[in-house]
Amino acid sequence: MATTPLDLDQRSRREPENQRLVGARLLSTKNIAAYIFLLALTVYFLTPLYWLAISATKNNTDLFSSFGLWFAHFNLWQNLYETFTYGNGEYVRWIINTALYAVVGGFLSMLISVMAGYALAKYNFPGRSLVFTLVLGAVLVPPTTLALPTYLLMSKVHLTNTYWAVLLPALLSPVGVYLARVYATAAAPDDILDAARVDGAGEFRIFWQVALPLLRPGLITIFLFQFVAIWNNFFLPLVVLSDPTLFPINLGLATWNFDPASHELLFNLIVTGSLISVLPLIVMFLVLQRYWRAGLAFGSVTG
Amino acid sequence: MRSWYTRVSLGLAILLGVATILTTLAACGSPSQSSGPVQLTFWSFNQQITEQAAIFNRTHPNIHVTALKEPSGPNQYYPKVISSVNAGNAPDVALIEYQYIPTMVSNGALVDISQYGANSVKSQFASSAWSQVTRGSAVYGIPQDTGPMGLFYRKDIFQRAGISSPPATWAEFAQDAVKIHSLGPNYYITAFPPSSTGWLQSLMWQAGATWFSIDTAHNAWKVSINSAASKQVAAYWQDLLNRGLVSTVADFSNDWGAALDKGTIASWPSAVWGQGVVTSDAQDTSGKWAVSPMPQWTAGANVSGMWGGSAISVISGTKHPKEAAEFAEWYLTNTQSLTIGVKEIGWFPANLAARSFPEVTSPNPFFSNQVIDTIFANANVPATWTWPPDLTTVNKDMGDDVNSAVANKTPLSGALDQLQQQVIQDLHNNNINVES
Repeated sequence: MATTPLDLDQRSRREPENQRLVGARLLSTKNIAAYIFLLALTVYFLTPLYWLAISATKNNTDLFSSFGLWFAHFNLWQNLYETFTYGNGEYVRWIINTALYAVVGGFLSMLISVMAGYALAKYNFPGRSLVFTLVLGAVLVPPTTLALPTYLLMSKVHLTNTYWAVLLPALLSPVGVYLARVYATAAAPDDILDAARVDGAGEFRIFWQVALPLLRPGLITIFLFQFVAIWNNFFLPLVVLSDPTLFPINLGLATWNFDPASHELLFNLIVTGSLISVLPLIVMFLVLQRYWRAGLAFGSVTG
Repeated sequence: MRSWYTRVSLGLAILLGVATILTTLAACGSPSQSSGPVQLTFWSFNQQITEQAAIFNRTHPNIHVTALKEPSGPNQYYPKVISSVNAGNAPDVALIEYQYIPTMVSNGALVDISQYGANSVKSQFASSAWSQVTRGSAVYGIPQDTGPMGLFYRKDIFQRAGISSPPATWAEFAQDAVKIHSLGPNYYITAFPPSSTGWLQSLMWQAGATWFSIDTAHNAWKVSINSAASKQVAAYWQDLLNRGLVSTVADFSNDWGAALDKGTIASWPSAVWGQGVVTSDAQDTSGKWAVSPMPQWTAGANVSGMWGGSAISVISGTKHPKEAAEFAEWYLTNTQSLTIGVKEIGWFPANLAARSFPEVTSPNPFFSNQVIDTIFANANVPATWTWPPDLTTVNKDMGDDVNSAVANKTPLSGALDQLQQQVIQDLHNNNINVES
């Protein structure tokens, strides 16, 4: 799974005196090529965001008639005002909904994942490998294919068109369980857990007070994964919700889409609304990147 | 460490509390009571639909309509309606575009409302619109808005090219195309956007083509995509394309909007709702635009096509089809409701009385005070066109075929032949009866 990082790891352990050489090697042709490649990737990933930021400052006419990657008339304040006030401020409601789905869903999903992952990593019980194999298999099922079956289940229990219709399916994250198992195996050594047992701690207390703090970087990674997945999920809310007051942002923005029967064109609001909706994700990543990076590296080496 | 969890748990508790409160609030608005007025749910993708429902609820104490604005977009809205029918959660009433009505009927999603008095309001609607909601004696909706076609053109550019009056025939349009292209290599009379299936279909419609028809007695479909009328339209645009007189930029794209603004695309054969697009995409060109009737295939004729338009249909699975039909009829015949539809939402109404509302008959300042809606109201749309029972597949194939013909410079008529075969095959695959 992670041969290259392991390689690097061994080399640096074998040749600690070579560390200064790393600085000299920065300018080798191989590295320059790597930098150019990374630079190209950065441009590739940031251009859409740049376009979004520029476009959010334009009115409808300029959106279509001015050069896409540079400013025209500066209309950002007007766009912001209209985005937040259009349709009795429905956008604000969508932000609150999205935050609720992503934060609550992400947090509970993280908790369930880590409990399951910890159990799979630390307890020996019959069927353990079968359960883990099933979880691994579930990782391969695209969530979109489950949206319609989920919808049919939800309508059987009359939960469609409620917050639960989005929250409940969001709680289960096979990737989260998988990651949690990997972290728990590596980051919560059996010795420490055994020591706690010797001290008389119950299993739940060991999990909550000994293992969980050790797993924190992993937890944050799992939370972020699920947070982003819920934030971006379009198809599930599309089928299970029909009341616009329950919509997340992406679904709400879709109701502002071009409709030939209406003479209002809301493209500037859709663009501005989209920009606002990605800001929390960016902030989240910047604030939590310390843990996030630690968590990622952890998973890649021990996987 | 403990405080970290305490804080998080506290935050979580608050959020859950908020969720519960919001759920309760939402539940209050949902139709779950068994007594009291009949509860109806209405889906639309128009903006500002709640006002009409509020008026209806005030004047109809026995019925309560909840109007919900849904995400538009053919790949979202219609699959959503169909899956809600399958799950037994369907709305009672919903906005359905004419072009999707046969698709929805073949999915068993629409109720025939002729049994609930729909035919009694027939005379109030444009016949071309009414023909879009009927099949044999069945009525699958009440027409809301229509999209008759006209020609939006730039007076200033036409004048500069020495064209004194807008083209009355397609032959004149081709001559004018030469004059406009002589203004500069970037100047085109219009664009032929290969992906714009609805646009090309409406031009076929104008030429008298009927791509689909249904033998209601045998419930069998007939496909005539590559008919003589269709091939006439294809050959006409083929000629303009070959001579490089039309652009192939995608409509509604950034480049297209910029070209309308600059005048390098000097006209746009489009539906009545195109005025919203023109005034918004090319705001700075106020006073430079005018509208004329569609160029004709026969000099002196008055035939147009239709692009867009929608109806209010009653959806299968409703427990109150009679009340749902009553709402649909009220929504599109009541003067107050129509006024809101025309004024606030922006319908070009299918209801004939609403076409004399001041919003429809008043001069439009952007078009130098021309009364452009009258031109669309006078456009004569043949009531012969029928949409296919699987529109999504037809349009996907059509987009692919026309695009590849334009890109590879192969004949458009060949693309129509190919589409004819593909569509027949698709219908067979979907177990829909096809007459050969």
